[in-house]
Amino acid sequence: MINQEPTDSDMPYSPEKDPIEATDSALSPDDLAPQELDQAADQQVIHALLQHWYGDRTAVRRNIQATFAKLQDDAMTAAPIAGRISSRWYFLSSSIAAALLIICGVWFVTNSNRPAMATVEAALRADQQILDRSYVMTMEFPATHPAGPVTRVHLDLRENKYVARLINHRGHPVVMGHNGEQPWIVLPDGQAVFRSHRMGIEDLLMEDSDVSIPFLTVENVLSRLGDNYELSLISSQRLSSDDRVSWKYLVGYRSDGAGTGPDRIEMWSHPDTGTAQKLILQWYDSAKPGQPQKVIFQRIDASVQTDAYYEPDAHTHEGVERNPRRRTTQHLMKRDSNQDGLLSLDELGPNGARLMTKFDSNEDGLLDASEIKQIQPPLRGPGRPEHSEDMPDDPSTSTEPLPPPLNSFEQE
Amino acid sequence: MSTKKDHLLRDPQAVFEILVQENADMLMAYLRSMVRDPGAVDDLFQETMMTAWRRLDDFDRSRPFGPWLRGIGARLIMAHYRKCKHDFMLISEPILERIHQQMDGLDNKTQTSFNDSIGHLRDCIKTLPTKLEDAISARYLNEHSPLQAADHLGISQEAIKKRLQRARMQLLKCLQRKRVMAGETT
Repeated sequence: MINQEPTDSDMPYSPEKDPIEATDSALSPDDLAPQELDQAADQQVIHALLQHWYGDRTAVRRNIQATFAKLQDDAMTAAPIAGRISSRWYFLSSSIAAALLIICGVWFVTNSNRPAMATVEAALRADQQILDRSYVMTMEFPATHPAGPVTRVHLDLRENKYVARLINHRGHPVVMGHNGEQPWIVLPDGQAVFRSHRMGIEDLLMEDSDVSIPFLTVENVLSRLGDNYELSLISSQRLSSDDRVSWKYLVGYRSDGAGTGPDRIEMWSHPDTGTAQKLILQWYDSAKPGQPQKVIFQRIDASVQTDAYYEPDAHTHEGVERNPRRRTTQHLMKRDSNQDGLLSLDELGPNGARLMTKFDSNEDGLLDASEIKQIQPPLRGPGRPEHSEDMPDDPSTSTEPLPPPLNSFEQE
Repeated sequence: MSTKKDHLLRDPQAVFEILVQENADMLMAYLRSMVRDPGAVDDLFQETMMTAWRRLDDFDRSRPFGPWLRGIGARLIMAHYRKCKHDFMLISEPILERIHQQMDGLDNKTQTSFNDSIGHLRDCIKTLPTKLEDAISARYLNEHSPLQAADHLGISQEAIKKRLQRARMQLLKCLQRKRVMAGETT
């Protein structure tokens, strides 16, 4: 006998037995027998485990951080004043209490900011000594944002060079970077081009015009924050249960109301070297409460890269022909609609006449493989032609748009 | 002679940090087993931890921290449930008791950690028939609503809900076979 798998029609769906998807009005514990209550509880537990297994594990970490931040806030604000004060002495007592509170407050702020600033200064000194670092940068946007809810970027940094890898909002891999002289990008078709325009990511990484300073340093970040932050230092925090380091945790809230910069900044730095291990920048949108925009830098262990790694040629995609001339040939031969190995004027498109005049050496009205090989690939970027006139227009070679720029530090 | 560890364990904040880190995943799963709204889960998590910190002196250190933490969480859930029922799944005393029982099995620190326990889930998911695995992926991996998941798989909403219910039941049985979850009580 064949043991067949039950089909959907074998077991009709009963919403009154489904605690996960049923609305609260459709299901009541009073309607269920004891065994059905156990089954409902089991369904709820498995549902939670599946959410936990597949879901965003950072939620746990985020909640731990929020808890400790709240506890710190509690410790700062808790000043219970107990006892009854007779009406006769009420005015005098409250005046003395107010004066004492102000004195204590000033003392506390002064003394809590002092070690905080010392930590920042230590971080600045340590960061300047380090050349090669790698981070995972996670950008969390509201779900309605066109760039999608979460974008993860792998960042390798060396002084004024960087390489960033991400999957863009169309699901295509994108690699971009800066070789210390020029910014570049590798397009989804594997073509590496120098670019003249800034990407949103560079608003976070670099000063407006000066790329000669090391970026993604605590110094760079804090220099953009100005003095308008209330900083608190929490003695030590581990970033995970098996973490052997008790990081110094710095949290800052913007105190200038509608000024510039993120609304909240958190930094974990090494207790000895002061090096920033993790940085969280958060913006709140009053129009969309509960949907903060967040950028998280998490430092990771990675091997030290060579200088060549920061050049675009090191990142043309696997499987794409590295020889630019051969790539051009392959690209043009896609237009060979009758598959005869030759390109006619019609097949070449709008720029066909110019290409034919320039490269049809035997003047037979057709471009063969050897003639197509003479066509140079386009070079784009500062100091180079934005678009080679020798290449026919083709929408498939257009630059894939990247996610819209992040809210920069300069945003209002 | 007192060791560094002894000193660490005498420091209540250090102890609390360790306990929070060790029990955070379990508490999130516990709350998610009863609370639908992710925002409410976050609020309850933080409220539970803060209450635990304030009442740390009441905690008997010879006993496991997880059940004590869940007890605080359960009281907060019941208080919150009375105010806004639509944030929650099915809740009653017997259901709370059963969920506690299942969490105890998953959180049995003498054998393995909570995350190791739910790591068995991966093996169990692999044993599901393709239809059920697709339903689980659509609902939990892609985070689709039942309506979106039904559209995605080209089936009715009722069918996707039924498949999810069957898949969860099979996963439960698989975890019971692996002895990380309790079996039938009756």
